[in-house]
Amino acid sequence: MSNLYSIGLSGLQSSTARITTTGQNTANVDTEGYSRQKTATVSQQGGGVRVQDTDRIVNKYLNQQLWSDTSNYNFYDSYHTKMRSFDSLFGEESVSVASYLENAFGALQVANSDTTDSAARGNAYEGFTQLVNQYNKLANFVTEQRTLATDELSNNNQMINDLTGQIADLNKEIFRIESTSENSANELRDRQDQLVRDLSEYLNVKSSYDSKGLMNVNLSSGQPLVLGDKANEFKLITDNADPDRILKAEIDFGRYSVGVPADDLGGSTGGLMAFRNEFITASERMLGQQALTLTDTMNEQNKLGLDINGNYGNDIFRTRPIDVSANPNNSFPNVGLDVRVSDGESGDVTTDSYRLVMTSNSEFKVVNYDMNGRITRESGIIDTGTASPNADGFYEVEGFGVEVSFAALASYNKGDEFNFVPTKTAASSLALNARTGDDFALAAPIDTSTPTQQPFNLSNAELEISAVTATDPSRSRFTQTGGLAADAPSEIRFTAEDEVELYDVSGNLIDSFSLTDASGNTSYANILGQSSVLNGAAVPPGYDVSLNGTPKPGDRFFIGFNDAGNADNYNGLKLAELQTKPTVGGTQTYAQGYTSLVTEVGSVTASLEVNVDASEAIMNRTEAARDEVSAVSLDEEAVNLLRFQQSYTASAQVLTAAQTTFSTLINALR
Amino acid sequence: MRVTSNLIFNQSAHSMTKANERYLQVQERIAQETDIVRPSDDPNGAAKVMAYELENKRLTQYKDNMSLAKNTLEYSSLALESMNDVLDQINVRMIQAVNTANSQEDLNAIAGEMENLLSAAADLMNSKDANGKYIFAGNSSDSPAFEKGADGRYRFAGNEGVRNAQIADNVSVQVSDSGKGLFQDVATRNVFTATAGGGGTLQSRVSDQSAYEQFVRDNYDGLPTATNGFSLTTSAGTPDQFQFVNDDTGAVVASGEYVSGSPITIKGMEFTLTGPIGSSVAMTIDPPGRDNVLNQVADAISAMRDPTISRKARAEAFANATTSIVNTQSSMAEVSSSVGARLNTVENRELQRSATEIFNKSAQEEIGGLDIYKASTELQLSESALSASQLLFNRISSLSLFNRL
Repeated sequence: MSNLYSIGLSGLQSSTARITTTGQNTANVDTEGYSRQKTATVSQQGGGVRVQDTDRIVNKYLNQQLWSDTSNYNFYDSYHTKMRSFDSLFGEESVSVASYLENAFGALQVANSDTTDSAARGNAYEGFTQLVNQYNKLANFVTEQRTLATDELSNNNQMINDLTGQIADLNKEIFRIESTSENSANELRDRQDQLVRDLSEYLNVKSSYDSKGLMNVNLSSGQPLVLGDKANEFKLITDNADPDRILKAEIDFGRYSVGVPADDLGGSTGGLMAFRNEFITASERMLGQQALTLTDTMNEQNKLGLDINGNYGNDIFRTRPIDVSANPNNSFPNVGLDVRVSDGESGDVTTDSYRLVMTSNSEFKVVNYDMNGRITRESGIIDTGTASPNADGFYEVEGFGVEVSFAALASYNKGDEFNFVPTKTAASSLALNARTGDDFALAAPIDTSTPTQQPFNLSNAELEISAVTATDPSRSRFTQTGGLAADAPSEIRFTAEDEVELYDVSGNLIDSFSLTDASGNTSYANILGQSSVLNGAAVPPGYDVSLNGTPKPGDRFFIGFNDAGNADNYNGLKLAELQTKPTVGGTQTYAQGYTSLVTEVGSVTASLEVNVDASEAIMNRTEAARDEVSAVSLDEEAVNLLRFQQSYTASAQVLTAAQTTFSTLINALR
Repeated sequence: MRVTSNLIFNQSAHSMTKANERYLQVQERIAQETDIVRPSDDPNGAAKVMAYELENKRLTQYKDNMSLAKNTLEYSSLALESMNDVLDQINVRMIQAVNTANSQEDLNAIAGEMENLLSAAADLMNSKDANGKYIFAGNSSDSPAFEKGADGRYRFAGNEGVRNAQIADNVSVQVSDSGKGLFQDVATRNVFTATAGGGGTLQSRVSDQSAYEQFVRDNYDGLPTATNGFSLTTSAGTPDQFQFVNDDTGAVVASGEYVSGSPITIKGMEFTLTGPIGSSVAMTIDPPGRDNVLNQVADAISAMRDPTISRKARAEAFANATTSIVNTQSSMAEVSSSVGARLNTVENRELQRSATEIFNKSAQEEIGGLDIYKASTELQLSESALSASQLLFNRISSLSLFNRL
């Protein structure tokens, strides 16, 4: 009889426990990370039911899957969110450098139609000022985005260390509770799981359980973040030896730190790192390459003309000198070197990183690395002992677009390395060197003429300028102060229809030669270029002329310094033509350089968009799968509630039955 | 499958977010009237649209350049046309003046008219464009192309540069012509100098100017070493003979019968040599000259006004002026036709340019333009999707067993 009582009692107890569990489940239906609980019971030998443990219903593999999907989604989402600002900005016409380019060059063409009009020149100057401002603005935007990403990363970093700290603390707590009582710390474990999920928004992590059932958290590349009740500090460090100051991740174990490959980080930290270290760097370099090319090509062309005052053209633009970081392990770490873009060679400058390696204390080579650190090309070894430097002492690295000048060679040793990125600061530091529109050198430095007094020419042929290649006195026969040097060719005299005598400014015969080549073709194009004496000379004339008709013997043609022709637009047209020339990287126009950046922004964003959508769908599916197992179903709980209520009532009935049986027996005995 | 409350709510939330997002995207596209709101909507298309847009901007610039070029060319074309008229009128006065029946008063009157015409011609040679630039002064267009010196002669004061205008990518057209080649370097009438030797007396003149010009073209040697001298020698015989020899080459240019006192005509030159056998003529071609028509006509005018001048000298002055007028007109005709050709080029380019512009616009529209039918259908679709998911949520959220207990 007492058995029946105890059976009824155990039934009541077990039903109460289950109703409590159901209550807990329904109460936590909206609690994030809550796993539904189930109270297990066993039937007892000799009657009755025993309440065992109340456990969470969790599939650890699904949880693991959810965490990695979460980190995946957050990787793409954080990258995409950052890209969206680029995406909406770069397509905007008012922002597009390309339309500023069009405006500036359009104004230059107007100036070309009347080169003496200072207002038109001023307008062109204004156009280029705005172009420069736009490059600066965009470069600043890129830099700002980098700063923002860095700030966000350091926030993330704090959150990560917070979260790992909490996970470690919970391990301590869970161990304390579970070792002192039989109950499992369900709620604490739920909280721990949720913390790991929060953490996987920032990083891609894996968890495992040690022998005591405590959670360890590792990065996907294996380094431990949480070991038992101890959290290791996650750190982001700026690499000062890198010209781009890229961020590197490390885990601090107290006495030493271990580097973590940035590609394996995952989560929003990985996304932001990729954005900061890859996209930002790439776009900065692409803008820089355009600015650098614009500067070099326009400057070089401007130098080939005369400005409104009849002086040689000067640089139109300038950019900051290229920063060179010396490897701290160099034999003389404080010794640097100077690098600059070779005049007129900007087409060879790429967006790669450059590394100059000393192969001995007087020989060096240059190696290019792409954004992923792969070698893209390597120069031959240049021996400063045999190579001849240019006038300023710079050694040109042929095909790489740069030239290098060294300090005392004794301060370099084999293996010393210097890193630089020529395109890095060009866009942000682009500035106008010209002070007014008058500085645009629109006129040709030479003019041509025919005799103005007896003996006149018999033919009506006229000379035309066919090329101007240099006005620098060291590389041409122009003088420093403006004029043709005494040895510059200035008169072409025909002694026969195809026989030429060339006289210099002082009237000395330079060369006499035939314009008819070995195969009998007579060419009146590039006449100076056909002189073997001039071709063999150390300093070329720097210009050439062609004849537009057939001369007669005795005809004379003169080349002079253009001191009166300020309405000339020969060089102005050449400047304007640069707009449509393939200059950037040797393959694209200035504007194409920009539109390809827009395409880059667009395609990166578009592919991220796809990835965000896909990874979100996957994450949602995994979450649904996890919910399928662990989340609370109110309908189910309602059914359970009814069921446990009924079994409670039934157990109560058992007690009533026991009591009734007992009193029936008592009454029968009475 | 175990359907949990979380699942139901999450799924509804997701689908409503997505439907909202799609709805907004379509709306944005319609509002901006383009299928490419951001580069990421179509990265390549965005770049292409941008490229077309830029090209059109450039084409607009070329349009401006073309109309400027056309203006300048039309200015010079007009100046040349008027100049031609003025020269024609001077020519008419010249022909009038040649008439021997004119008294000196008549000639003075004609000279007066010609002076007026001449200053009109000088004005035209110093024509200015709309910006006040001298169009024939080459590249020093701020000062007049022709200046009158203290000696009363006009001289070219500009330079020989020409100006070009860019009218398409890598195409430029010459918009100015220098007055040097056009007006200043006009060939003057060729003449020769002849002196008699060997006891003869000589009268010589150019009897056929065009034949003589041809002779000069064929024989004049521009090299400084050449003397460009010719000798006419006479020798006895039956009948007596003469020979006309090029001193530089020794070539015999002409030979024939010599009769003292009767004119010998060789290549447009007429020599009337009077004297015995052995008389000779030393003749040199005067170096071909170049001068502007203003000076040549001015000389003719002063010859006209001078009552003391010999008949021959006056006739030569007239001949000089006439030749100069003819040569100037032919030089102008050459430039004029080249100006016309350039105007044609500009006009052709303009046609091509506007065709390209229209093509670019339509290509741009095709790539980036809004497909209004597609967009409005999508708008409809996403709207119904949105309202459907809202309705669904409404239904499903009211389905709970707890409501029925």
